Amino acid sequence: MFTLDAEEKIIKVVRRHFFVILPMVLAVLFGAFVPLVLYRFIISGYIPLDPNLVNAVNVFVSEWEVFGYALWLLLLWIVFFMEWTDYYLDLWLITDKRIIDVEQKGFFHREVTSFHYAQIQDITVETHGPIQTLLKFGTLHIETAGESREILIKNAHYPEEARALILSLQEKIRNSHNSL
Amino acid sequence: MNFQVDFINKISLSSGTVADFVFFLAATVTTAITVILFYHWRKYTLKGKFMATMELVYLGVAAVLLAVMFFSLN
Repeated sequence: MFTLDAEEKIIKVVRRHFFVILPMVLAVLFGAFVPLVLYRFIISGYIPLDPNLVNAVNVFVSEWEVFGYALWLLLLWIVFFMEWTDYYLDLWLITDKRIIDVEQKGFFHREVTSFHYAQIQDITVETHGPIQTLLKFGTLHIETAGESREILIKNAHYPEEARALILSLQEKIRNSHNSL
Repeated sequence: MNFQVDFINKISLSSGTVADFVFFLAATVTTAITVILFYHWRKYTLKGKFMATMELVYLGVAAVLLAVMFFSLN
C-alpha cells in the first residue's frame, strides 16, 4: 500500500476509463449464454449430427444442467472480478504534494512510483479517434526531470482535467516556494 | 472396428463421488481466490461505500451459485 505523508491529502484519483474493460464485460456476458445457445443449436437439428452425439449431449445436460451451469457462471463471475480488480487497482493518485503512480500487473506484481511536482517538466494529453473524444479518455504523458522513462497513464478518464489540476498544483507549489 | 469411450455416463451426477469432488474443488478454488481478492481489496483500495458494495455483491452471488450447486447434488 502507498503511504501518504503527514498532512498529505488526496485530491483526485485517476483511473483508466471503464470502456477499457468493456470488451471483457461483454465477453463474460456472452460467455454466460454460450452453453444455452450451444445446447439449443445442437438439439435443434439445423445441422445433421450423429444421433448418438445428440443423445449423449441430452443425457449430459439432463444430469448436469443446474450444477454445470452454476459452475460455469461461478467461473465467469470469478474471472470477471479478477479482471476488474486488475483494472481497479491500476491508478494514479494526485495529492497536494506529489503524484503516485500505482501499476497493478496481475495479482502478485505491483509497481508504485511517486514524483513531486517540482520534477515535472511537461504534461501532454493524447486523444485518438471518435470514441476517445466522445467518452473523454486518452493517454496522459508526464515528462519528469531526472527520470529516464516517461511516465504515462493509458486510457485515463478525463485526462484534460487531470492535466489542468496537476499544472495548477505545480503552479501553487512553485509560488509557495518562491514566497518563502 | 468401432471403439468409443462412454465418457458421458462415467461423469454422472448420479455417481455421487464425481459430483461431490467437483463441488468441493469448486468451493475450494472459489474460497482461495476470494481470499486473494479480498486481500487486495482491503490492502490496496481506498475504503468506502463502493468497495463495501462490491464485496457484498461478489460474495452474495458467489455464495448463491455455490448453494445452487450444492442443492443440485443428488
